[in-house]
Amino acid sequence: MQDLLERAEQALELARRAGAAAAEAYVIDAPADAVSFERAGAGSGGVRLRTAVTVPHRGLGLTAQWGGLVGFASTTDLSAAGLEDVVRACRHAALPEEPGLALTPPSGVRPSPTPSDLVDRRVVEMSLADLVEVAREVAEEVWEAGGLAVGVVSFARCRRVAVANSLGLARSSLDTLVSAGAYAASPGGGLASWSRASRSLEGLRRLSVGRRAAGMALSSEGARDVVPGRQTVVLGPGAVLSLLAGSLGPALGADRVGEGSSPFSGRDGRPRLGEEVAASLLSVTDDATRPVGTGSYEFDAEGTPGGVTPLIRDGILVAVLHNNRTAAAARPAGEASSGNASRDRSDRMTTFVEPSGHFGYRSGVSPSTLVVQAPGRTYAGPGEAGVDRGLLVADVMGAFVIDPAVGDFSVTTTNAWALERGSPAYPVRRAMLTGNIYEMLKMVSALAGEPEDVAGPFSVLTPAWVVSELTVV
Amino acid sequence: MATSGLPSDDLDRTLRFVLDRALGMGAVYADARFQDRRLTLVGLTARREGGTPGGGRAAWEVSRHTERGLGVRVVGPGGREGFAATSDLSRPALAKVVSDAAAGAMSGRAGPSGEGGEGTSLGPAVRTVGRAATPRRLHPDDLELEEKRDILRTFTAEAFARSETSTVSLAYADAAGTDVFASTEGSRVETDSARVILRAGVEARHALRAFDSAESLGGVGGLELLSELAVKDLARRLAANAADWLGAPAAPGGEMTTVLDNQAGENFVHEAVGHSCEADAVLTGASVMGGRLGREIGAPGVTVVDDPGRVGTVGMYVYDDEGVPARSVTLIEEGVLRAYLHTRRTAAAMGVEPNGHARARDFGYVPIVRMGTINIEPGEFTLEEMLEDIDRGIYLMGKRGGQVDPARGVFQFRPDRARLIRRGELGEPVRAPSLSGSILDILQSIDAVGRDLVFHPGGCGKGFPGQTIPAGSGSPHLRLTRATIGGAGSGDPDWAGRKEGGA
Repeated sequence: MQDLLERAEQALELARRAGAAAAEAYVIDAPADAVSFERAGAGSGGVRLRTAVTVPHRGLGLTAQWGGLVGFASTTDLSAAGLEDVVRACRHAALPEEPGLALTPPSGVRPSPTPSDLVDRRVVEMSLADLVEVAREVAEEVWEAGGLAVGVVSFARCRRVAVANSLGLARSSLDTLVSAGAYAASPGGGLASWSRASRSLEGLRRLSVGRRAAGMALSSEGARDVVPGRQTVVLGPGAVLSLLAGSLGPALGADRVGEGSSPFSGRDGRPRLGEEVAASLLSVTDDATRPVGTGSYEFDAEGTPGGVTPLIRDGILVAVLHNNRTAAAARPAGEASSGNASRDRSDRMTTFVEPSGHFGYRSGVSPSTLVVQAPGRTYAGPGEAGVDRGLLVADVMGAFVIDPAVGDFSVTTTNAWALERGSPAYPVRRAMLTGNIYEMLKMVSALAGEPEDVAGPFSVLTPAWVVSELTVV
Repeated sequence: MATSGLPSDDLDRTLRFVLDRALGMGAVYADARFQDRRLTLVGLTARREGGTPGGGRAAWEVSRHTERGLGVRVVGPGGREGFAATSDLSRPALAKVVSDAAAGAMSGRAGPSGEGGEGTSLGPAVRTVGRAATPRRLHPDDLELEEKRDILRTFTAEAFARSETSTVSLAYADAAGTDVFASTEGSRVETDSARVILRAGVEARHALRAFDSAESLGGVGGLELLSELAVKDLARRLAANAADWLGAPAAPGGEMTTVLDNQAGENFVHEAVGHSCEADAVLTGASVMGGRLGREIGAPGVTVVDDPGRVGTVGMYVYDDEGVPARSVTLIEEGVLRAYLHTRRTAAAMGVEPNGHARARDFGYVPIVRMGTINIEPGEFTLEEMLEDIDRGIYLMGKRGGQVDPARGVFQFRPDRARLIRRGELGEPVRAPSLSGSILDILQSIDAVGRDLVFHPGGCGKGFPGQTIPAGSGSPHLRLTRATIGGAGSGDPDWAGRKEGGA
C-alpha cells in the first residue's frame, strides 16, 4: 500500500507546485475477480463456466484549492505524466466554492475502535481459479439441495485505499470482500435468487447461498395469485435493504438534509432532530466499526475513522451522517465528521456517461452499516410477532427508482409467500407493494428472526420487518 | 492517428506485443481493446430562495476525467475465454495482463452435473478493418468549460421563469476519445467518438407538497444536440410538468387499460423486449423468449428493431466491441419473434451470424450482449384515437427507470407522471405508479400502436460484474388492454375493484 500513498503524496506535491493552497488525494486499487456459471442448456441441470474475469478498479481523485477556487479531477493513469495531467485538469475545472468547506482538517474526530477482521488473507492471495471453485461449490450446493442452477456468480475484491491531504493526513488500508449469488430453479418450476457477502471465505461458506436459493425455489412451486388489499407484510432483510438503499440511506446524509432534498430537512438546512420519524420501537444506528461487517471500514473516503452514530432512537431522529464538508457547514458552529464520506454516488442523478470508478467522484455522504433494532419487540418469527395472515416478501425489484426526498415506492416482489397462522402457507405470484417509505417506517410493529448482514451500496444489519399495513396490488 | 499520450506507432506496437504474446502462450484467438477517453462532468443544483427568480443558491460541481487502458481477451484451445485489463501500459504490466487472461482461458473442468462442458467458440473468423468517426458538428473538446456551463445556465433561467419551480437539478456529461480494437484474426478497427448528455430535473414545491419531473437530452454527437432551442424547450416542459403535477394524488392501483406515451413505451420496449431478446439469456434458459423464434409472441401490430446505426441516438456505434460492424436487427416482426441480439459467442452457439451487439462498459470489462438503440416501429393511431374508446384507464408519461427478470418473464418500470383517462379523454394528473407485468401477456395486450416514433437517451445496467452503458430507445404511443398498475389507490369510488383473479 506504500505505493498508493506515494502516488497520493506525489499528486499533492504536484498540486502544491501548481500553486494550490490545499489539496486532497484519494487513490484506490481494488481489482475485482468475478466468476459466473450459467446453465449448460435449456432443460439441463448442468452448469458451465461463463465468465472468469478480473476487473481493474484503479485510479486517483484529486481535490485542490486555489484561493477561493476548488477543482476536482480524476485519472486512471497513475504514471508521473498522468499525475501531472490530473493536476492540470483539476486547475481547469476549479470554480468558486464557499470558503473553508472544501478541505477541512478532520478536527474533533471522535475516538472509535478500529473494526477487526476486515481482511481474509486467503482472499488476498486467492487466484481467479480459486474463485471459480468457490462458485462451483455454490452450484453444487444448489444441485445437492434438489435445485437446478440457472446461474451462479461469485465476486472477490481486495481493496487498497490511500488518502492524503496537505494538512498532513496520510492513511492507507486494506480490506477484502467475497460474495456469491445463485439463481435457482426447482423441478416444478419454482424460481428464486439469493445472494450474500462476507469479509472471509469461511464466512461466505457459512451463509449457504446455494442451499438457501434452492430451498426458496422449491418452496416457490405452485404459486398462486396474491390477494390484493391492505395487509400485514413481513419484509425480509434483503427486501429491507432494497427499499432503504435509495431512500432512508441517502436521506440520512447531511448533504441531502442541507440541500433540502431529504424528508429530514428542516429550517436553514438543519436536520429535524427530535422529531418522530419511525415507530417508537425502532432504533437505527450507523456502525462502521462492526467486526467482520460488510459495511465496516477503518476510515472513510476522506481519511476520517469510521464511527458509531445513533440516528433514530425509539423512533426519534437524533442525528444525521456527516463528511468533513457537511460537518464544517453544519449550523450553528460546525460538527465533527461522523466518518461517513463516500465516493459511491449511486443515489445521484446519472447521465450514464460516468467515470469508471468511485475515485472519479468527490465525497458525498453514505451510511456504512445501518443496524436496525427493536429492543423488546424482536421475535423469533412472524407467528411469534403476532402475525396471523399476511405476506412474507424475500426481496423486491424496482426499488432503485425511489426518490429519497419523497419516498413513494411501487415495487414488485420476487419471492413471496402468503402467511397463514404466522407461517408461510403457499407461494404467491408477482405482487406489487405500494406506499411511502417514510410512512412505512411508522408502521413497523415488530422485528422477526435473526438479524442478517446484507451488503449493497451500504449494508444493513436487520431482522425481518413486520409492517402492519401495506397496500398489495 | 495520435491518441492522447500514445502515438499511433506506439499503439500498434503495443497491440502487436499483446496479441503475439497471447499466441505465444497457446491462445487460439486473442483480441485487444485500447481506449483513450476524456470526460467532463458538470453538475448544477439551483434553488429558489425568498422568491428570487433565477434561483437563490446554485451549487456547481465540475470534474474532468482521463480514462486510458487496454483490455485483453484470450481464447484457449478448449474454447474457454479469459479476460484481463490494465490502465498501466508499460510492457511488464501488459505482459502480466496477457498472462492473467491466458490463465483464465487455459484452465477449467466440467460443471457439477458433468453436462455442458465449459466454454464455446467464437464461431467463424471475423476480419474487419476500418476507421470511423461518429457524426458531430460541435466537438465537446472544442468548447470551453464556460460555454458548457452556459447550457446549464440557459436551462436554469428558463425553468425558473415558472414561479412554481423550486429546484433545478442538472447533470451534464460529455465523453470523447478513441477506441481501437485489434485481433489475431487480422481485425483492426478504430473509432473516434463523442457523446453529450444533459439529464435535467425540475421540482415544484408548495408548503409540504413537491413534485419533480425529469428527462434527458443528447446522444452520440456534439454540442449541436444541446441547442439553445432544445434546452429551453426541455426546461419549459419540465417546469410545466412539475407545476401541473404539484399536489397530484396517488394513482389508483390494479389492472386497467393503459396508454404509454413515447418515453413510457421506450422504457417498456427496453426492459421487456430488449433484455429478453438478448441471446446470452436465451441460451441459458433464462429468458421467456427461448424456443419461440418464428412464433407469434405479440400482437400483430408490434414490430421491434434494434439499430445501433441510428444517428444521433445515445446508443449509436459503428463497430461493436468485438470489431463486428453494427447491424440493425428486427427482433419482432408483426408480432412474430424473428431474431435475438448476439455477440460472436452466442451467435456461434446458435449457428447464426453475429449481428454486432457486443458491448463493454469500458476497456476494463469483457463485451457481453447489449442493446444499441431499440424501438417499436410506428403504427397508425393518433393519441386521440387510442383514448376515444377507453371508459376508465391510465396514461403513463415519461420514464424513470425499470427492471426485468427475463427468466421469470416479469418486468417493472416507473414513469415520470400519469393522468387518468375518463370516458375517452385525459383526466386529472396523478403521481406516477409503477407498471408491472408478464412480458408475453403485455406484448399480446398491445392493441394500438401510435404513428409518432420518438427517441430519447437512457442507460442500462447488466452483467456480472455490472456494466452500465448508455442505451437509446424509441417508441410511439402504445395502448395496452390490461396492465397491472401499482398505485396506492385513490378516494374515487369509480376506481374500486379493478384487480381480477386472486387466491
